[in-house]
Amino acid sequence: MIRKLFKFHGGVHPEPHKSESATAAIRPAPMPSELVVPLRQSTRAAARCIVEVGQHVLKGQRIGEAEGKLGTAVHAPTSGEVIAIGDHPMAHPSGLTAPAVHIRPDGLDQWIDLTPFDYDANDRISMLANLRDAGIVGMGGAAFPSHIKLGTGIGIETLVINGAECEPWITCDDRLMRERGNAVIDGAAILAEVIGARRVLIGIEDNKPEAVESMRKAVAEARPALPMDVIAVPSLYPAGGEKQLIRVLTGIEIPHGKLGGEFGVQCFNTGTAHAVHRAVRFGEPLVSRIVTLTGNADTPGNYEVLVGTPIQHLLPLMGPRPDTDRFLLGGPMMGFALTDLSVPIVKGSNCIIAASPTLFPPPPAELPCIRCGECARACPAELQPFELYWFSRSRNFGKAQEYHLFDCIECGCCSYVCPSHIPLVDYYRFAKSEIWARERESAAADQARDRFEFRNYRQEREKTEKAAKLAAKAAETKAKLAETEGVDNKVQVADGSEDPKKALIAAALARAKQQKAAIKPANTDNLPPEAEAEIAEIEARRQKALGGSEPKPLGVLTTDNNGGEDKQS
Amino acid sequence: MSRMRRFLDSIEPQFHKGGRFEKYYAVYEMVDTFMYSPNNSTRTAPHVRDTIDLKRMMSYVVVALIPCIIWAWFNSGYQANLALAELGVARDDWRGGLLSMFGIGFNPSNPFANLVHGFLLFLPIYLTTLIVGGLWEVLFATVRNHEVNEGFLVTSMLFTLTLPPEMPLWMVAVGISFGVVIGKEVFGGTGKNFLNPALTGRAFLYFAYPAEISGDQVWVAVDGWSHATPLGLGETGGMAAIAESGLTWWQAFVGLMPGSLGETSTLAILIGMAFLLYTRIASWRIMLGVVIGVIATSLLFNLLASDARPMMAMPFYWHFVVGGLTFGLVFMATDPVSASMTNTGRLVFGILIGFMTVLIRAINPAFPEGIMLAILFANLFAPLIDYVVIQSNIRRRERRHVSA
Repeated sequence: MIRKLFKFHGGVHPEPHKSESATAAIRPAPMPSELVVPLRQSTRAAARCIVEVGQHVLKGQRIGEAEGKLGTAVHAPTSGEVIAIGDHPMAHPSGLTAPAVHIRPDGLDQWIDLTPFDYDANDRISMLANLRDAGIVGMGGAAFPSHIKLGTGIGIETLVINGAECEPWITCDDRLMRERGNAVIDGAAILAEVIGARRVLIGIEDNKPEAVESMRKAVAEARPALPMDVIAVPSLYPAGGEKQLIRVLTGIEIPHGKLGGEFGVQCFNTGTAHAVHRAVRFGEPLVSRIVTLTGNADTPGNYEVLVGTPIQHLLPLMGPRPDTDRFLLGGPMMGFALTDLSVPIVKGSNCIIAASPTLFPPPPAELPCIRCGECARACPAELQPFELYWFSRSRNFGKAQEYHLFDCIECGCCSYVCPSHIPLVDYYRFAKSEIWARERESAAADQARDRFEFRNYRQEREKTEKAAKLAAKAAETKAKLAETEGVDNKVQVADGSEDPKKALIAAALARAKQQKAAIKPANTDNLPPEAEAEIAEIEARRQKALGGSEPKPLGVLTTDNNGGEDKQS
Repeated sequence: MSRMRRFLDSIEPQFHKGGRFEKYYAVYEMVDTFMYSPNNSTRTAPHVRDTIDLKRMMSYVVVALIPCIIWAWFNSGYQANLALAELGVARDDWRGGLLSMFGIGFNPSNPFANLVHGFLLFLPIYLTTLIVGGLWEVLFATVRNHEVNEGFLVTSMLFTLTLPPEMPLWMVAVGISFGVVIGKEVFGGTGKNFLNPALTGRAFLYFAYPAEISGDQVWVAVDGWSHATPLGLGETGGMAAIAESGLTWWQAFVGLMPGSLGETSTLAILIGMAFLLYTRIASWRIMLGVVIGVIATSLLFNLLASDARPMMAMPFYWHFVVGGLTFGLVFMATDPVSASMTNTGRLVFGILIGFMTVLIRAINPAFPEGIMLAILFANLFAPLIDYVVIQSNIRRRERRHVSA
């Protein structure tokens, strides 16, 4: 069957350099003397350490518990003793450190008891939890937790398995598909079931005919319940980009700010499918991956490497030639030079390239942009890279975002074709991190403002409550006083009947007192309730001190008013 | 070579910060990078790169100009020799002296004599352009602390080829100064100019000294010899006047007519164009746009032709072979810095140039050379065109996925 394929915009054809390592079968890498297992294996979330120094662990034993929404579990890659827990440099362009568990292998490589997961007997939620606890993340490089991707929804029409492997030099997926095609297909079938896909498309670049052949054979043998197609896609970097591969295979163009799931497509790497197969069928958590060792080396090859193996331990396997000046992690288009060779292999590390000035010449000096538009022609995200470059360069970040800076996948096509050798991707990374920093800043400022406003509100509220309480108390006292005063008045009147002059004076005094009280609140009309409450309180105190002259009731508190009326009547 | 390298290395500290010649680092850098490729650079992804290169792009344009340059030598010499023969006089300046001294002579039927004669006409103008323009480049690079750019080689060559063969050299100097300084450097140098520097310089000369760059007197490098260009004839007498002068379309196509140094031969320009298109240096969309614009507009004017505006009757295939239209469309309009950058924008940009060229030629007899003004005009509109293209693209895509 000839399937209609679609094209994505742009792309470049760098030298593939696959033949160096593509013929080397996968071999297990020797056990290092110490493993450094980072607790942060997936993007944005570190696992919580659940082992202690000195504790003996078995292979596959959980050493880090998934924490947070994006967390996944981390496991001991082999049996041995935990010798330290602490920060260690990570594979990161700027050599960041992250917490890691140091394990000294005991050489037995003894598995913990494994139990396969029976999907038929369990539901979807427990399947996702199982994958999370098996530490399954995307193995194409981004290390995004697979259970999150699978959890976006059921009823995804198409599952795409990404075997394109478009970066030059890397052959780990190629070898995996050639040697363990059946496992990959089984993993794909599991993934398809979880998301409820009705078809599976496996995209492989046509420069890997053996992998295509092997996968087709595996599909034929597996006789899956739903249609599975192994499709050779034209070799064009970056055909292995998620959006690009989806576009080529299905014709669906995922717009700005959307994910494949919203369009009924979900994409997983072949390595991830393989890991899912191991986790479900054998109960094995993800503790190793295949890494290509190639470049300026005498014996390039593909190795099954335990997660946490320090990279310097792997280098002798490929025998780097003497003129090697640095090592790249990842491919030459998107990878970066390692600043520290003691960094461990993580679940997303797919390739280590020995670089020499001959193979990877240092880039010529940056020249002015002449707006030739080559970058726009090469951009697979259909952006205008030179516009983004000017905006980033002039720190006009708002404008850069308006031109969809965040749709840039940093594939490096623009830098690859730029005749002025402008490191365009560096400018975008700079702009992105600046924008993130500003957003963090403004988020922090927002938070501080919210906190301040809430504090004000809380103080106000407490004050009001206190005032209300006091006012109530005052009213009570007043009412009591009013009662006693009433008695006094009666007494006075009674007195007056005996002595009219005296009574007259007393009446006049009482009138004057009343008038004085009536005039007094003139400047308190428009006071806020709390101020009135305060006055009431003071008034109450004064009354107490005076010992029972009648007060003019104030404010809005009805009890007070009533009290006043009672008194006047 | 290693001796040279050692010498450059030994004097380098003098040009660094705090050194004696700190201010002249740009000059040192120019010499250094001209001879050796620099090795200071970033070391991040991607670690591989395409083989295309800015310097190569610039040198390709110069290579594409070679047929025009050779034709400039031959034709300007040929036209001068023809005029001398007809006037029956000898050349009495230094060129005449040189030509007589080496016994090359002034025979218009001797291609070699024509070539050498033309070369002697071309050389002073080119050297003046190169030296004066180059001085400005170095001056700005020194003050601004950036590198001297190869783009100037293209500018200087283009500027020279658009001038009449006997332009006074001081005017050449003034023209290229204006082009380089006002057309480019004041905006920040290569890549930041919005006008084509060569055309800016030429436009300045055109308006400042019209007597030396337009009319009937200047196109043949012989004093007292008046010969209108076909475009000038067309402006006054229409196609009839061109036919009367005896010029056939094929002669005009090959370029055997008086005119600016490098603009006369459409044939030579087409060879350069093929090279530029084959190497993908120049945008075919801009070229196509100009062609569409010219054809559409001239067909429209053919319908409206009247006696008052004889140029309106000029058929489109004549438009392409007279004046600087083809030269402008291949070498000037495609200057990526001052053109539109989006693909659709480039097409629109080209159509605007084609339309304006024919409009100026047909409607305004005061400016027979329409392409120069049309390109400068379109240069000004290029950012606007791009803005509209990008915005409408964004809107269309938003609509598409809203409705989807």
